[in-house]
Amino acid sequence: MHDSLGEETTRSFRQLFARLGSSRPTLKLKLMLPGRPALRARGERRLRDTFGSRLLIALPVACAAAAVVGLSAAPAAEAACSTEYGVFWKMSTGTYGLAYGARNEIEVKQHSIDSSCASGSYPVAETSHLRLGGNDGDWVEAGYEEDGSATPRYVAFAEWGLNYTTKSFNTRSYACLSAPSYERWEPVNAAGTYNWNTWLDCEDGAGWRLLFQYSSTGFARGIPMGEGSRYGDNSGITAVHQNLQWQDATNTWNYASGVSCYSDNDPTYSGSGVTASRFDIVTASGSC
Amino acid sequence: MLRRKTRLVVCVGAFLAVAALVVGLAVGGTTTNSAPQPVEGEFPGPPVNVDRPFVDGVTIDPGNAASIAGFSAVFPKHSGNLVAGYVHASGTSPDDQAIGLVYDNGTSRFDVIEDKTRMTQADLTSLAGCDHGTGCVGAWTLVQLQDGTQALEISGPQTNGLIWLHGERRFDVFGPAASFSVDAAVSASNDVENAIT
Repeated sequence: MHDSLGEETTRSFRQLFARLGSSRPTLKLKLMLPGRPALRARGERRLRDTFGSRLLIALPVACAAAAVVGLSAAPAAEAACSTEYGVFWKMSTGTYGLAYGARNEIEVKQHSIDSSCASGSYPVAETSHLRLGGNDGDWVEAGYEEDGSATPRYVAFAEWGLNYTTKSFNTRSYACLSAPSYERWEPVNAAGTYNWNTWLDCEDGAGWRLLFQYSSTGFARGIPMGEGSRYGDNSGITAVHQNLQWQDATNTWNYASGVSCYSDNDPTYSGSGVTASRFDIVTASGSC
Repeated sequence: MLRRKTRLVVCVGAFLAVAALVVGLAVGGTTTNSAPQPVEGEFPGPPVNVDRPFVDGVTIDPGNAASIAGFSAVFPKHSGNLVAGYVHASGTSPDDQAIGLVYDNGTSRFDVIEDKTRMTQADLTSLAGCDHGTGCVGAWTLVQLQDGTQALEISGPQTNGLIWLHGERRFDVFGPAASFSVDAAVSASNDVENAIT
């Protein structure tokens, strides 16, 4: 049975001041809980007993276990959206050799996005791509990225790099990039230079839009390809890459005379040749 | 029925346990937003494969490279064992030909790519600098080889390597960043440059 807060608090202060032997209260720290009488000796003993109880031994153990549970749940989520998979198919230029540009008409569609990839990240990409000089580690590309929002957003992007290291990456939004649709993408050499221009045709009658320009790449030609890449084991990259063309020294665009797999480290998706100038990325296991 | 003191301790304990769980989850990151995320701008380019320097490469006896590439290969003498040599596919015009050498230094494989180029020193110099705001990654810096030749050093995150010009020839030495350090790249590059006759 406990008195009201006010009565008990008043009584506690009186007891305290009586001990101090002073009519003027001085500050003294003492445990006094609201609504409870000041701890008496018997209560203090019981409190000590409580702190020595098995309950309080179990308490830090429970806290540590809870922390371990929380921490140990992380690694799977981290790995799921950080592994990149890519499918690259190359165009044949016949006996011509290296091309001055690549042109791919690529399907924009809504893909499944791995739940471990946060909204606002862009875990799926499709591109028109060239390996500069025919070197595996040098490239330029243009295409789109898709984000993991509930209503997906698409942005155009272009990039290039040397020795597998990105030198520039740039993005821009276009209203035409929505699912379902088709757009054309071109990384193209600027004649007489080692510079490259990247272009987008929304197929809306407005013609080609210049995306980004890259200078002094050290290469004027490359092997044309199409690419689908993703992060997240449950993200998708199925898409049509059609009307594949490459540019020659006279600035003429030529349809690819064949398509073939170049590299594929994706366990769930692979390319499938449909015509000499089209491949689709489909659900299929296997590598090149 | 638990006494009040005991109930109080139990409540405090439960609160601390829940707090510890929340802190653990926040630090560990079971929520997707705290896991490493591919953000706009972080598709890092092709996967590294130093065993395949060329897309359309065909293996050759590097000693016979001159008859195919139109120029003789330069071999580093002290940087490891030659594993394989490549040129571009037959039918490639001589202007587009190159030699790709794959080396193993006991710690890492690395590539030495040699070709003819019209790239100028000004072109190479213009590539120095890395603006992370426009998607550049790693470090792109100008360094000097032992003989004073200025080279472009590209370091991390995927590879470490150097690119430089020697007359009309371009040399590119690089290996995976995890096993081929910048020092190893510089050492191998000096070895190649010193071997040019």
